[in-house]
Amino acid sequence: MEKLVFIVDDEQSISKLLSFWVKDKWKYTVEVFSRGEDLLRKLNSKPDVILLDIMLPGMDGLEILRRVKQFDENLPVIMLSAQGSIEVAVESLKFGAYDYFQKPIDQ
Amino acid sequence: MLDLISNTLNLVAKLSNSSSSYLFKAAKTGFEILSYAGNDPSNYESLNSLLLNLHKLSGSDRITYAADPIIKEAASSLAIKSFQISHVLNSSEKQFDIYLVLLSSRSENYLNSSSEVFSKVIKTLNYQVREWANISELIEDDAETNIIYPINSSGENFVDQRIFFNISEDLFFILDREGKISKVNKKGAEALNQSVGKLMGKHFLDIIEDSNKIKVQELLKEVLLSKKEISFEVILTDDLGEKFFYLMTIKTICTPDKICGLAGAGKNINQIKNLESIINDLKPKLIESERLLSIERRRAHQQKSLLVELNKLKNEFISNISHELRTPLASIIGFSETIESDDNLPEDMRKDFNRIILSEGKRLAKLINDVLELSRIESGTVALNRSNFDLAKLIKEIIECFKTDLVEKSIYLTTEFPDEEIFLFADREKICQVFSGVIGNAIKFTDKNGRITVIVNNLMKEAEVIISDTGAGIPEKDLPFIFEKFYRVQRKDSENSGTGLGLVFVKQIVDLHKGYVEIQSEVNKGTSVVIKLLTSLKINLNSGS
Repeated sequence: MEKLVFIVDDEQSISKLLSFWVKDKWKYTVEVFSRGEDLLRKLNSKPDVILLDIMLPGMDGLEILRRVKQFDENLPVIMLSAQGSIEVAVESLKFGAYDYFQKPIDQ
Repeated sequence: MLDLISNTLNLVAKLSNSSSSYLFKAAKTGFEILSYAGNDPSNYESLNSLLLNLHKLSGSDRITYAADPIIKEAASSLAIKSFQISHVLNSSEKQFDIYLVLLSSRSENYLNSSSEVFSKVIKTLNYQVREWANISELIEDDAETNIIYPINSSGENFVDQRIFFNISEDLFFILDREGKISKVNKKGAEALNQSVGKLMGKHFLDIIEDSNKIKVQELLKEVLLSKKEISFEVILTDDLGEKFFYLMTIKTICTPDKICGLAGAGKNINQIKNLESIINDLKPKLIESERLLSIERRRAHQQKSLLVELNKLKNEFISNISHELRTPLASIIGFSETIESDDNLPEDMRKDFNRIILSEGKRLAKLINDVLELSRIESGTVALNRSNFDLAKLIKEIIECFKTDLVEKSIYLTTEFPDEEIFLFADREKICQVFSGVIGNAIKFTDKNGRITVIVNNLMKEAEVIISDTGAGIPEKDLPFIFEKFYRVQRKDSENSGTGLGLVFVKQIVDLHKGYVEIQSEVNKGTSVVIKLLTSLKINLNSGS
């Protein structure tokens, strides 16, 4: 069965880049969201991985992460952020993120 | 009568354990022994010289007696170690004094001299002598009766406590029943610029400063009624009106059945009063200083809060700016790497990615320029390059520049300008930036076939420019924040989001020109930006050019 990956980023160019790699290159099924709230509404479709930006309009990435973990503790969430602060990374991992990447992401 | 006196004198001698007692009369004309009791003096010459000198020194203190060479010599030849001298009678009328002299061969002999019986006998003697002298003066309690004068100054046991009164500058006094001063110590009197003689007989209230007289009178009454010791502060005065602050303690002198007078002790508290008045003078200054201090403290606290706030803003700014820089950079690097890594990338995709890289690169460049410009404006180092120019003409030029965009999006733009020119004395380039920004935003957020209206009004002192569009509008929740740095209204079409600095510039530049900017907006209906700027008064000077 094809793996389903959710991508959440309000920057269109970034989500386009991520989706190119995940969908076109690695051949996963991808769904892109620009707002975290939209992602939360689609959690029932059981994504295998979530790529989640931290600085989002409305609810921020950390809050989304907390709610995702409430929904399914074992669902891997990879955090992405252009924020340079180490605190956000630490916070993310504390909240149960699988990993944390800082933008620009190294290949 | 002299027999009676002689009997009494015998009694005195027995009661006082003296070896011999004499009553002697001293007058200007001569000197004689009236009566004696006890041992017959062996050496009359010595006795006479002793008595004569005691009379001369009468009223002196014991040190003077002890140090007197004649008394010393006479005492030694009479084998006398101590003596007591009492003034039995002082009659100015009869012009003579009568003294009672008790002599003893021991240093501490007068064991009974302080007993009640002894003082009664002395009183009797006193009375008899007065009777004999035919003087009907009142018998007084004589405080000196019981004072022992040792001839050898080594007799420490007999220190006369009055010595303290003579070395102390505090005031000690006795008031008689009428309130007149009957005794006062010398140094105490001197401290009031008075002599003992001048104070004696003076009423106590006469040395009280006028403003204190009633108070003191009341206090004296209270002492007499309660028979208790009372302390109070009082201002004394001398003949010249100089004031002395004293802390007084007054107590009644009583026999079992009556009050004989008042004893008082006063301590000069001028220095304390001076210090008190200095302190009182300083109090308002202290309060003032404390007030200033608290103001300074509050100011410092506010400054600290301000610095803390500024530091917070700075940190937020750095965090924001790094985020804003990284975001386009992430696209540029990401897409470049993608193109680089895949030689088989379809041509249309490659073109699309290149377009994104270019646009993100431009976004980055604009962001850096904006941030630098903003920091210059905020640091206050930007000088306005003011000149007189026609605002209507400037806006027309700006609209002309956007012609291609308007045509591309089929936006219908209408304008309303006043007939006359509207001159501003302002930085033309910056004002151009303001209206380019606002009109540019209007075009950016207005859909195809939308409408934009630009109205310029001349309000005489002010020029008012209204730029309205039928675009996306700004949600109500975002309106309070639209002039904040990096604040961006989230759009469905995120390509439309800028650096989050455009409106910050508009506000900063309008503020620099002491103008006014307001934004009204409704989602999906449109936005109106109102900008007011002061007009120039020198219209005519430049209108011709």
